[in-house]
Amino acid sequence: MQADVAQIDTKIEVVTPENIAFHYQVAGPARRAMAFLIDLVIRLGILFGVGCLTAVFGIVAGGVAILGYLIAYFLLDWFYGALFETFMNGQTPGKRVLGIRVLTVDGQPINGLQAVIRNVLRSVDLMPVLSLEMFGIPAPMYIIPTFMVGLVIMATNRRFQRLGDLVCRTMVVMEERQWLAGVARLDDPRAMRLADYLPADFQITRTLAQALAHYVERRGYYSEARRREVARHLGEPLLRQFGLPHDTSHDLLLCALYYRAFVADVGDEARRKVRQGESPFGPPDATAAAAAAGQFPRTWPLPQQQMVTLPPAAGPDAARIL
Amino acid sequence: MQLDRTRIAVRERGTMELLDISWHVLRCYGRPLLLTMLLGVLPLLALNHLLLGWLLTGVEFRSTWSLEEAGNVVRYVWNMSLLVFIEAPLASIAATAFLGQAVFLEQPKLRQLLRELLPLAPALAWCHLVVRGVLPAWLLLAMARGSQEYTGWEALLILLAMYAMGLRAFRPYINEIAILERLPLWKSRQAPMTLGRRSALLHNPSGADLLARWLCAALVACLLVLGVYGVCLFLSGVLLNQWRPTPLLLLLALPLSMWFVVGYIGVLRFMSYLDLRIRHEGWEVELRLRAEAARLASRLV
Repeated sequence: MQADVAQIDTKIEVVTPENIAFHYQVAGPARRAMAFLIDLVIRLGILFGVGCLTAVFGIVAGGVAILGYLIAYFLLDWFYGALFETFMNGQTPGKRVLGIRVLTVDGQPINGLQAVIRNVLRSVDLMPVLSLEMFGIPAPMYIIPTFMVGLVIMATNRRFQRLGDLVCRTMVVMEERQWLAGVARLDDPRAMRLADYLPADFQITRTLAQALAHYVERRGYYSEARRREVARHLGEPLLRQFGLPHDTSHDLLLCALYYRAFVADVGDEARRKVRQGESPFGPPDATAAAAAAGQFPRTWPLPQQQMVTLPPAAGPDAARIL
Repeated sequence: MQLDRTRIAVRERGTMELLDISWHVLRCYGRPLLLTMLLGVLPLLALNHLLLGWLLTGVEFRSTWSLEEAGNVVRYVWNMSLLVFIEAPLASIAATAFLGQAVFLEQPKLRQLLRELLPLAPALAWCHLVVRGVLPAWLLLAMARGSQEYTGWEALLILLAMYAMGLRAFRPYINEIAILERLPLWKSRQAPMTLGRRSALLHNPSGADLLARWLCAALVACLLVLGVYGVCLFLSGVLLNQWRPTPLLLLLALPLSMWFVVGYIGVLRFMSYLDLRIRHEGWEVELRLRAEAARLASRLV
């Protein structure tokens, strides 16, 4: 049973010629199918509108109106995606709704030729096309696309590229909408006091710091019992190593260690901000003043609103620490 | 084994991303997943043929069918769909066991996998054959065997499928809990947590989410079965000039299309299970802390 070695994820790394690495999350068949469906609805809506206009003008112009309709149908069918992707920087309305964008595999915006070719080649990706007659319905028209060619090709490469993407060296990625979390707020002063009891010579490794940050960011979402259960794994050996009383709260110990790693050793300004609930990565004072004057939204986005709060002192563990 | 260095990136994902990454997993573990799925699928394929294949014996495959022949074909397709739906988790037991180990970069041999599954057989048999209705489904179709008309037994199969549907929508991860968490069926002094209790604890808080995900997966599964079977139909038309369903298509291609999709849905279910544990239990945080504890212990040594 052999397998590849790289981690299986939808995130990929693109390294520029300047040796700068960007991380993108590639959009797979599910998200792209949704975007396609939205675009299909828009196209059908436009065609319906054009059809109504044709019916109205058909009374006067006759065949010319029908010719106009056929031209509109042709343009929509073949160039809808290409035009939008060229002039909306790799997005169609459907892609914009789903938050995805077409880029080259080097992370650059696509050009008009790439947009046209990848959209024209969609007609291959939607193969094989079936007839209703195959299912016993007497209508010998091949109108049911299965998209199996596209799906198989997408499933067999890491960037979820369909045939059009492979030919044009493009890929579809998710637009980044992640907030960088600041330092988590520690409301409970016991964590800060406990930090003073930790041995000064204990080296917090990079992976330990990452694990602590991960724990403190997420612990607010867990129940008290689950928090104890999770913290116990690292808390127990740390307590032994530090020579602290065995009934010290593991959760508080990890918070104290987090405080040591990210706040206490960083400086007075960061410590003040964490105590006041501000992120050390917050905006400069001028920006804050502008926000206060109503020039910017006064509420900060997700990370600040979801800051982790330690529960007030309670239970035998807390009593032991204090 | 380093718990925080997993082969599949462990983090929270949305439904769309889960649908997408399942294709990656299928691609990376194509061969072992095919082998483990075949372990479950081949016996069921043969058994299903025994239970339903007789419906097509009298059907002559020409351009037009008589009403009776068409009725038998529809009956076969309908019953086969219900049966495969009910049996799907049973078929993906070995694949789930493989994925559980593959997450941590283990490369289990097939024999080793089976040896590990053997002690779990009673719990799995109880869950799938009895509780999830696989055995009753076989019995119902065995009772209906040979009847030229649609029978009450087959109508009961629909009710059974609806019951299985309810269980699968609100308790989807029974395979994962039984195989990966290795919980016993009955409570004992050594193991106070049982399979049923754990299932309730994991599933109950997120019933609405699970239902939404199940509906999404069901829709994708239906579309995929139609797509894969459509490809078989298309290939039969192009290669054999047979544009209508033939015995080969109905007896082999149709069930195989369904089983292929069962394999994909099995991977999707496993990924969704990991996601649920990450969201509700902070499983990824626990892994990181446990890995750090192991590193700390090795540093001290």
